[in-house]
Amino acid sequence: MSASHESATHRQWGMTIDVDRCTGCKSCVIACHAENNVAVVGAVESAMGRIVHWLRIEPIHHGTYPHVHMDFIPMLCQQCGTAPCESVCPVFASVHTHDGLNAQIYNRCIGTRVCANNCPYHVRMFNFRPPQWPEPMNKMLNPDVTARSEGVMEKCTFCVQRIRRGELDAKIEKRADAERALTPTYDGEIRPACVQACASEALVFGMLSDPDSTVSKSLARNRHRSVLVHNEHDTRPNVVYLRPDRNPDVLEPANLPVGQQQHHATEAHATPEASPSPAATQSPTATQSPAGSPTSVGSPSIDPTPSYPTATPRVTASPSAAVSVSPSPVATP
Amino acid sequence: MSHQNLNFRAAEISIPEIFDACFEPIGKSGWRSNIVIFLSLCAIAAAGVAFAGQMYYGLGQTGLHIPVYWGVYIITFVFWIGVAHAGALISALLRLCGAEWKSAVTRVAEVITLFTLPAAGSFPLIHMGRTELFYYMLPIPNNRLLWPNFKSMLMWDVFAVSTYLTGSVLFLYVTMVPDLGIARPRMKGPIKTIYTLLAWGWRGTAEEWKRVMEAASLYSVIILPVVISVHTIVSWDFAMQVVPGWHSEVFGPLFFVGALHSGTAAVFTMLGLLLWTYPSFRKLITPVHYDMLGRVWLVLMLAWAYLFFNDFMPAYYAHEPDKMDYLYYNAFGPYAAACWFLVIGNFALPLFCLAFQEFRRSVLPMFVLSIIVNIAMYIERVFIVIPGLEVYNGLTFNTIPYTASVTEITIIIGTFGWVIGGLTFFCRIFPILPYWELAETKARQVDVDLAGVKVAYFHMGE
Amino acid sequence: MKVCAEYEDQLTAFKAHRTLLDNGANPEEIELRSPYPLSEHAVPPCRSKPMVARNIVRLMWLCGIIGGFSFLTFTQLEWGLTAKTSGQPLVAVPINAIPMYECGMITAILVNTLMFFIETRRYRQLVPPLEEDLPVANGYIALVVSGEAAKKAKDWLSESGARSVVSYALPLFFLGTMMSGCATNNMRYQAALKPLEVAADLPPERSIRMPSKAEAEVAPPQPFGWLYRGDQQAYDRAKEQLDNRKKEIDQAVKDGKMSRPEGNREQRRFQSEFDATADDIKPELWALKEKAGVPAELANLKSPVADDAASRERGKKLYTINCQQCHGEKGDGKGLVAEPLGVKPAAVGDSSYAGRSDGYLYHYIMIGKNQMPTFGYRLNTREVFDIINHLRELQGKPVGS
Repeated sequence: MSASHESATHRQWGMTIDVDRCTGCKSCVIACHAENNVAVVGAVESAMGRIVHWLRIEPIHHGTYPHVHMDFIPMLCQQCGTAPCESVCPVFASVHTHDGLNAQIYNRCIGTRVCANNCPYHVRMFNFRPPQWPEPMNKMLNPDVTARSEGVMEKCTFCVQRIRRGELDAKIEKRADAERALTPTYDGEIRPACVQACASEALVFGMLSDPDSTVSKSLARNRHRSVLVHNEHDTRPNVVYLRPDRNPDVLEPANLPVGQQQHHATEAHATPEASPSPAATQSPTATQSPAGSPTSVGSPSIDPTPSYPTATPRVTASPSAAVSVSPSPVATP
Repeated sequence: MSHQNLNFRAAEISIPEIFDACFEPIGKSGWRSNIVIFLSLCAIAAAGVAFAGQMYYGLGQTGLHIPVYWGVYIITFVFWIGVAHAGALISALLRLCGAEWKSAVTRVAEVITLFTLPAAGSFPLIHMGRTELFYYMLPIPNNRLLWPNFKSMLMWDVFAVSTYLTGSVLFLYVTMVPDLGIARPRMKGPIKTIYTLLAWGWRGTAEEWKRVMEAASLYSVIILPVVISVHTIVSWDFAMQVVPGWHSEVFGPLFFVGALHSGTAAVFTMLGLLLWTYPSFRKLITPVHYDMLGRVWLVLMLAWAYLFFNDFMPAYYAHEPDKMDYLYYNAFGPYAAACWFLVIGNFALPLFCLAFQEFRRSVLPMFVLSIIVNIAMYIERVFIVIPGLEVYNGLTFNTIPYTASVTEITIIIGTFGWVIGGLTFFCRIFPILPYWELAETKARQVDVDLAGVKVAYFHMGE
Repeated sequence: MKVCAEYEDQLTAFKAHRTLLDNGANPEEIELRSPYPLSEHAVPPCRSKPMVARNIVRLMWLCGIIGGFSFLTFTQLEWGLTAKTSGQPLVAVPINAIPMYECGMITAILVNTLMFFIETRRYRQLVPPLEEDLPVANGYIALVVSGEAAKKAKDWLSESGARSVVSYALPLFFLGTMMSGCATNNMRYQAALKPLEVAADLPPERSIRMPSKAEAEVAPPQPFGWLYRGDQQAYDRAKEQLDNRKKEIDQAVKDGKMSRPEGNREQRRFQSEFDATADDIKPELWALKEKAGVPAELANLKSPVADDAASRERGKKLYTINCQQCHGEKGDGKGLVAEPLGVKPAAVGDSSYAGRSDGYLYHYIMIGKNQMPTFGYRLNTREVFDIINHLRELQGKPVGS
């Protein structure tokens, strides 16, 4: 990361998702649809595989019958620090904002869909048809959010309209002072729709680069079970998943070869960490993982501001692994 | 300096007869070419209707869905780019190698490039969600200082394809100037006007001949790196992404050699079509040319096969999980039959057939073989693009396989019509066989009797 | 006596031939000739210096192959050796390398084509005559007339103007197309010249028209209007001063009167005068453009729209829509999007702008300035003056109140 990212004024919104708490009720999905004017594509298009979700629930099955257990992973845009979608867009429709969001500019998008191919999380959605809403639903569209036209990409924005509204409120009340240098808003004042709707409070949102925020405290408390999904592409996601204690194999690579682990450890050491950020100094990074992952012992943080565990275990896309997320298309006739 | 070739001899007719054979179809219509052009126009019209429908109803007309964002449009883009490489290979490479037999096939290959490159370049635009905003990708100065992303490999495509199109059109044009100048006084009507405008006052002095040959050599040198860059950059569209089946180092050379393989096959297809459409060309395109070009094809096919299997062998030895899934999905998945047709049609069948000289020399079997290879190479591109996206759904809720829709297939057939019909129509206006190169080869040929064996010897100047 | 005329195509030559025959010329005295070689001669006479040319060509071919493949190799993503460099590529190819590479190749191709036509131009024109008395100059069909018919031919040829035009018409056509294309870029001036016709009455429609001749004399259209160079002389003067100052500094360093500061340009944050370049004085240079800007008619123009409350209300609404995002709500130049702009938006609400005439503000709102876009397409004259009235109200108040 560049020097400016390590300065004290670097702002980074982030989220922690406690997989242990998620009940899979999907109220976050409904809230996301209602808040962000996500189009309803209808039964026919949905059967063709064009359903649009900014946030979806990935069910994960464990064990064999009758000892079956199920976990749910809410999968949304990870707002990557080094996003693969940003570098490939030919027209700069996918850009990084000053507060660490991965923004999609709908007016600029020409629909090459290369960003969606390059997204390891499959959270970028394309509008194949002009957006439509059934009769009563068209009266409850959110005026703060643009309705995306046909032919553009869209994705989770961390409810950027709520973030901007909160910042404007703070500005109107002249709240800016030295204590809240990173963001003038109160901690917990801004909550995206999914966070607001989550009954079990599995989702926590806030300023990751502020060590006193709820999300940072939640992360520091649960550092031993924090996981960055698909960080093997060095995407540096800002959504941190908290592995369930009762079943720590969730989000754990089953058969990660030893050579690859060492390779990742090498990468972590090679990442420059010139001047540690205040957040990194306040929350010590030497926390060792009780899960016993050999790579996380004693290695320094690779992400400067939210001191994530290094060389995090990853979720493989392999159907042969124990984490079988969805049935493989090989098995699909 | 002399160049001996024990097999090749120039056409057995005199130079005025060569002229007549080259310019025989100009300005005339025959029932065979009429059929080809009519069918092509029908295909183009249907594609126009389909594209209008897609513009009106949106990309929902295609068979694309959420994990498979790139479909048969991109496959056809890669296919046409590959076919377009025929022009560079035949004309530039053979010209630099000093192959005397190249004359009969150079311009056919260049004209194939002339028509396939626009067909290829149209597909990224057709496949875009908002085609009307394609100019966002052009670096036009504007008030807001918004520039395209030069880091994006799609931008590299824009540069590479436009460079190659410009270069190949100029290459074709400059080597055609002598023919236009020579034939201008003998033409009539609007064709004479066209030749007059395009010949730029060609007189045929010794200095002009010298310059046009130097220019052709320089074009050959310049266009080869361009060709390599074009298809390497097209391969980077895939190789620069994180999709497991795509993220491969060997894609650059694999795409390039595969392009030459399919481009040569396309030249054979078009030659067969031309020989059927315009019978006068049979005097000039002889089995000897088929034999020589068939040998080149054999070598290119072997190079392609090495790189193709090389793509999978290291992954197999290492047992990298993602790549192994991709491999098993290809070979034993729902598309296993197509996969094995790919291997047989691209590798085993040409290897067996092209090894025999009698096969290489016969026109109709080569035509059939070239069509089989074209289909197999198309399937190879399908296997590059589609399974990579379908396998790569570790965290996806969607496992619906991709099927091309009627709209997509109609538009693709329309581009086939554009290429075939365009080539046939081109033959009615411009000489598709380079008269001056054929006549030059004929004039430089010296027959020598070597112990009872008749050998052609080509005089290379003073 | 012989007369020779050239025709650029055979048809014209045949027509002339027929005309002379109709006028009673002797057919034996008329002859049509073509410089084109017959088909059996239409092959290149020789290949000059085959060895040298071919060796050069082969060398370049080799260089192209080696360069292309090494370029391809060094930019590979997971090349084997990169494991020892922590994943970094061995040769750092800049991100713009591929567009640069392609631009280089297309330049080579275009230059090759141009050189071919330029080089052969001479041989297409200046060739020795086929016969002593037959100056077939340009490679066209020649009509040779001798004897009695020559007089008739002379009369007829002087009327018909048998000249070849194609060689000249094509370049002239392209040149004219390009020149006319330059003129159409000049849209800002057309918008700026609107008040000359609408100042008395205020038509509501938004029309864009070409300037008349009188208007063009007042503000002559410049090619490439979007570049908007401004006062070129002032720019050159400022640049010359800067260069002189640099020379003085160099001399002072050489004499030991000054010493160079440590660190590079970024570490010094451009504060040192050692680092001054033409880019650093850009704001001043842009300020110099004002001198070139406002037409004389507009310099002292009074607003034709009455400065009443309704106008100010309308102006405030329009200002909020069109101007506020850059110039700020109070006109202090600190709008939402002002931060990343290279040239900061003007504090138009500041009292220092109260001295500017209405015509001055009108001119720059209509045509735009620096980064500011043209609003002549969006606003009509009444709306612009409404905004100006609102600006006067802002300028009356102290900024920040």
